[in-house]
Amino acid sequence: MSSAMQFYVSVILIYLGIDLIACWGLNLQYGVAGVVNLAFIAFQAVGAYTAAILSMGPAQPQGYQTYFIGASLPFPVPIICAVLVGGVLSGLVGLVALRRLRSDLQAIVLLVFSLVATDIATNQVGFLNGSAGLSQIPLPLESLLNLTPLDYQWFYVGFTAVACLLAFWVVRRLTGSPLGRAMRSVRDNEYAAAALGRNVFAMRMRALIVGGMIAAFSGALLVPIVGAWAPSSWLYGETLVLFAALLLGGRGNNLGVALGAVLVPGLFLEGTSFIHYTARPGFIDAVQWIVIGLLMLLVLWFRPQGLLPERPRRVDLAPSLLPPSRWPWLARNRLAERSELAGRPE
Amino acid sequence: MRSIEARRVYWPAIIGVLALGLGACSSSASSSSAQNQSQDKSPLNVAIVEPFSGPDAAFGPITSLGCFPAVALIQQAGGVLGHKTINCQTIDTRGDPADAVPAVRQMLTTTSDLVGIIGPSSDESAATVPIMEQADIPLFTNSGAREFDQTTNPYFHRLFAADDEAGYAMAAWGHAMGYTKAAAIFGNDVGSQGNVPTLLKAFKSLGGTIVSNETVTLDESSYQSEVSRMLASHPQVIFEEMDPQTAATFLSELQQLNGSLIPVIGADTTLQPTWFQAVGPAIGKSALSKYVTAEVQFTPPSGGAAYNAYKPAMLAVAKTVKGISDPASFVTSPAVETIYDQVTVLALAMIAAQSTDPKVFDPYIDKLLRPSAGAVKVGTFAAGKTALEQHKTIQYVGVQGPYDLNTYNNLPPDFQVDSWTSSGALHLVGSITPAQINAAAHG
Amino acid sequence: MQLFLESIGFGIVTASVLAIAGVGFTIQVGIANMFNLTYGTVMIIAAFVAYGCNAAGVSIWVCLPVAAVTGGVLTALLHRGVFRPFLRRGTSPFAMVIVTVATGFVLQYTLQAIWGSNYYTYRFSRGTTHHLGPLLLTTAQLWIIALAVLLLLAMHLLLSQTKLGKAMRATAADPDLARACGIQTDRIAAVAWTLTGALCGLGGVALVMSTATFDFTTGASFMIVVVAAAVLGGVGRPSGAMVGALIVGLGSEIVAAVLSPDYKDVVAFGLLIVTLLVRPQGLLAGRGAATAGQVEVLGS
Repeated sequence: MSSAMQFYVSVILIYLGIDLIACWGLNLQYGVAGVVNLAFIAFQAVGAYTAAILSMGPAQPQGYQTYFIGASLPFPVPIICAVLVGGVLSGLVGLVALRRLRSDLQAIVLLVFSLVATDIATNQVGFLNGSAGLSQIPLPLESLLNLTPLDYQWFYVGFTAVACLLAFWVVRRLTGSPLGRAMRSVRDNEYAAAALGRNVFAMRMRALIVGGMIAAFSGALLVPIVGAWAPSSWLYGETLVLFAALLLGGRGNNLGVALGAVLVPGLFLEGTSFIHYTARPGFIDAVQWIVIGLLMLLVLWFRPQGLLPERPRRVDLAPSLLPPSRWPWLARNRLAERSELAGRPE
Repeated sequence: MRSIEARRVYWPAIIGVLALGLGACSSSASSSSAQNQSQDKSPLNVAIVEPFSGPDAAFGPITSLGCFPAVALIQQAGGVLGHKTINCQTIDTRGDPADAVPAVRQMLTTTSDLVGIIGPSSDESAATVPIMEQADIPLFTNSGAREFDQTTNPYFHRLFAADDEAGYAMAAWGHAMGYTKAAAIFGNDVGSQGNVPTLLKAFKSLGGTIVSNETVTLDESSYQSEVSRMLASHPQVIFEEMDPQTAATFLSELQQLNGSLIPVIGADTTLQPTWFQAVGPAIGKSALSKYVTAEVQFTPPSGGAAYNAYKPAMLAVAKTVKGISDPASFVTSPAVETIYDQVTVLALAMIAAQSTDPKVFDPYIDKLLRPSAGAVKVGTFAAGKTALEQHKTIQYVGVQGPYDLNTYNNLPPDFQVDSWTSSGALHLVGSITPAQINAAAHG
Repeated sequence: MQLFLESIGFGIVTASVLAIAGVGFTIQVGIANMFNLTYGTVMIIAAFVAYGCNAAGVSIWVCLPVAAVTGGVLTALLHRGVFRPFLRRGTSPFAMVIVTVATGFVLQYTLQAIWGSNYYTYRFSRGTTHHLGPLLLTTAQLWIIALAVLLLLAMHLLLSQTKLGKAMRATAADPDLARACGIQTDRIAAVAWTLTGALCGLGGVALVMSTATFDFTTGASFMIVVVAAAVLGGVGRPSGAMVGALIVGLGSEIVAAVLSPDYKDVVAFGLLIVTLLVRPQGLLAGRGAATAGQVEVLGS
């Protein structure tokens, strides 16, 4: 492979990994806990900005970008701080947005947060350099490793892969745990869950915070490879692309969501860049949004559970607890669902 | 159940493989032709790396309007070193850095015989210029961003004025016109905001006062509050740079609230045909021509051999470019002329270096642009090619030139001020000399 | 001080446009119990059709009915073809938001694919600027305010005095009970959608008349402000939308004039969020259990 091809393939793999992490985070919030977070991309941006300003050093007075704070912290610290800041801001947003509202109003409230964040970032120039955004963001561990640019790219691919595994482990553990079951119960039937003693607000808050931390993590990983970060990179439409990935792949199912991430932001949005339509280049972009819209409509109509639906979880009870029945397998299933709703106390 | 799910997964995968296969086929087709060394050598490719979608979707078509006529004339004159076909490949960056990076990487992978890049714009330059410099391909950016004011990379070329120089020019002109109280109204986008810091500093140092400084959010339904705030401070003149739609709304509301316009000094967006098309109907073309002036880098008057060769080629191309209304009106646009010159000088540099390898011909780009003793001044590709074949030294002046680059490969601060006529043509009003810019910058 | 008073005038104009759009939007929420976020796109499509009519030489005021018809027909088609099938399936409220947003994308980007991202301007005379006390308003703006007042009055009379209006309110309040009383809720809903679609079209033209130029993205950003106005007054209540429009319109213009124009939209957003925090049922919601047009905002 020529070096240009290697650069391209490695960038695609890195972006894919970051999309996977982002989709898993959104899946935790929406797929598992039912929080309709239309502000997701803003949390990725929070992580990106935090990691950037904590690795770029303070803004130079005669320099061409202005931003607040700024420090040159060594390798994992900017990412860790990004994750923490993402979690804190998710919590703050959750305090406002996670009131008992209809899901569509809640979605609108969260969308509004995304729009407000974009407004503030663009208009307060001293905050994060306004619409020009931050640039010349250093690559982590660059001076320590001292690799050629191409070797560094492949190193970063491996680094992103490890990050993906970490994120997958976290979401897998969470969705499979009693907490995950409790979140799903809140998602499926909020009133029943509340009647059984679940703290609906706390469940959703946890999902929002952990999902927000994962979103910030993905942003912190993305920003050094792009090298620059501006409000145009995180408009509210990006969240809808991730939602399309979730809906197509199968919300609630981590592997389904991964498939959605490969298909929608990966194959569909990136793959079509190979089509050179010189007669009207902007046409492709418009067509992509049309297809995303149609995709969401078709998926919601024909297969709302997605390509890989959420697996129904079974809890096997001891046979002695089962009532005698002519169709034991039927009774066991019903019992399993009931016991899943109740969940184990956590 | 699981087997059914697994089978259903296959069809998207099949489509994906087909899509990748198509992409691979198209790139392998062009690379196989590169192997073919028969009478017609493989096509050379110039990449246009600009937004073709998103809020700055006009940048891409405007750049195409400069690139396509240039390659048409180059091909007419016999091509470059046996390569009879030159193509302008369009790459959509979508106007944001995160999408631009993979687009540029993909371009570098799949474009064979890539000899030059036109772009990027200020939306994505921060992220993409390092990538392109690293790839050792000459790039001609139209980003005015300050960070490129003092670059040393040999592949970086900028034949557009830097944003902060434009800010000095606006301040210098306002001072030259005798204004002492000015309002600064700039859109919150990257390109407009780049002018602001130097404008504010320079106008103050020249003795003026900025009585109102507003950053306007683009494309809102009403700016009446911004207009009244500005009017309450009683400015004599408005320094502005906004996109056409915003300017139309703002200036028409100014006209309503104030009874008439007040003098406006803009930057280069103000002199784009799209600006005239949007603002003209909103405030009336006669008001526009009376009150609005704008600075732009020095533009030689239309006419002359270079322009006469460029104009028919550009008008022929204008019929085919989609995405902006009335492309033909851009024939006198300094931006389009500069882009045309960039592509032409790129081709001439290859002939001067007798090589299509960027590493070999890149230094010749600056050599052909800078004046040198005994050089023949040429304005078209054909003339330049003929002169080079006669082993003469040439200086490419082109349609917008001369381009007398300084040590940092930036243009000298030589500006002029234009206004619009009611029929939508540009009209020279005055000029801003380097001495005035210097006074503004250091006064 | 003068700035403050002038901004009241601007606020009234903004409120007029918001009111025309907001009343239609809020009735849709009441009738179908869904937030139709395609509303902004339909506004701009109607505005675009009116532009075509205007470019053919017709005065923009005469093109208003054209826009109303476009909005009504398009909304009715969307309702029959897209929204109703999904609603009948029991799609969750949030999924309906996704459906409407996706439909909006398809419509907006289809237009953009065909006509490109150009800007369009109406050709009409704004007339002279009148000084009404401290307020500065052009003739065209006065006409827009008059149009808004007229439309709102007509809607109010329709809903309170006519049989159709009462049937609409009954359907919005409790569809099952309305059906039990013999009201053909399907037909009433179809009529309601068409009427509100007409309001949507008129709102689009009014918006563009105050913007001076528009492109296909103009509707999307206005949408959230419309939602804010509707929620503030209480979703499903047309009178609430009027009050909400007034508050949001005046509030954002006054804050923009007196404090900072950067945060005009943020005022609208802030009002939306504060309303949902403090009084989610909206300002005009009665304390009683069942008030006509009341839509549940709480709960899952």
